[in-house]
Amino acid sequence: MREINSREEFEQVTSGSVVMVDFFAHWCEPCKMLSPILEEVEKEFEGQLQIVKVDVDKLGELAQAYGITNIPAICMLVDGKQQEMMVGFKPKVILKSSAEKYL
Amino acid sequence: MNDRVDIAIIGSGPAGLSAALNVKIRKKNFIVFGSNSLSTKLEKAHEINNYLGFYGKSGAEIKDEFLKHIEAMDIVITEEKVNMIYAMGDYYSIMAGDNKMYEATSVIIATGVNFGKPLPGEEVFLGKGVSYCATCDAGLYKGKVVTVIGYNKKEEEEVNFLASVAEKVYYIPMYKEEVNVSESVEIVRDVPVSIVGEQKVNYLKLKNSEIETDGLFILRESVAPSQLVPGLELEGQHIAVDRKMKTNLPGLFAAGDIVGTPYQYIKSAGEGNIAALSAVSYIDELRRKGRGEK
Repeated sequence: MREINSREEFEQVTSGSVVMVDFFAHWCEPCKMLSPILEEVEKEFEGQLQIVKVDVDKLGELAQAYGITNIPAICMLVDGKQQEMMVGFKPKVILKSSAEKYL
Repeated sequence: MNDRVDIAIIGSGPAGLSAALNVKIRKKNFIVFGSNSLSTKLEKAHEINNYLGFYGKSGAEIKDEFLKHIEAMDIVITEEKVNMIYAMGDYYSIMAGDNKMYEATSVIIATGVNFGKPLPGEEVFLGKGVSYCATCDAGLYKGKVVTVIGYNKKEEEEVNFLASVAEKVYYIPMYKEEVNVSESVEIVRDVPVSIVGEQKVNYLKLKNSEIETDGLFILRESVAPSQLVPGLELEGQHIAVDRKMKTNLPGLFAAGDIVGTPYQYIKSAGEGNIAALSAVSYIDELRRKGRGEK
């Protein structure tokens, strides 16, 4: 999974097609649990869905712009527009069915 | 990391224990999370006349019979509170006690229904300022105002942790014992009424006052099932199951009061039995497919 390092990079990556953004932090236990599941989802939807990570400690402004108050938070973006925000750990079945809605 | 067990049973009331003895008979390895006093609800019951074979006995007497039964079968209860259960795909990760991790291929939830009603606004603002996990979300409140509602003295540790991160912490203890928290924490002895906000939490309304706050942590003794297992499908306040006690998550079963009324001991024990047999066939099926082995 690609980790975003700047706001510019975020805007560039999320401007096209379907992107799932994982807002996380290194100290967050549920985020750690979610990470391998997102890797699996990314593999299963290879070429159709991009999943990127945003460290809320590194890019706090971006997290604030998206109104992140709890993490992990998974944001679904289509052509840069927010479609859905899922808060907290989610099992694979739920992540997959959410992604499928926009593919 | 602990070895992965076949089945983890969460709860030591009639449903959990009945599940445990059936799993034991079917020779699966398992762990039971609960308390050696079994169930506070059972302990307090006056007289139970509709449990077959125990006519005229009190809850406390039936509890002793249950204890004798599980001791005779060498079933041990692990006295750790389960905080979170993560569906990882082929297995479940169980966070218990002080962030200790366990792994199980299948899980039976039999926690009973002592989670209480949510505060007005709680569900609306969940993820928008309302949180149940201080260790998860504290870092998002650097330099901000946080309010904590704690239902147990044990939560004071979490309050102190939050105080080390946030700019200001208000603490509303919901218990009568003396409160020992960091000096910087402002203790408010009042009763929460509702959570108010627009996009996010703005303030907490109490019976006699109001607190303006960026975040609200609600730390209860036991959490609602949807908080315990993220992604679990509910039916109202209860876990949605079919006749086999299956939930929407593969390998996860539920039994007892947590799946719905009537809240009766013998119904719970019966459901624990079904859930155990379902979990056993789930494990056997996985083994047949050549998966699920350690």
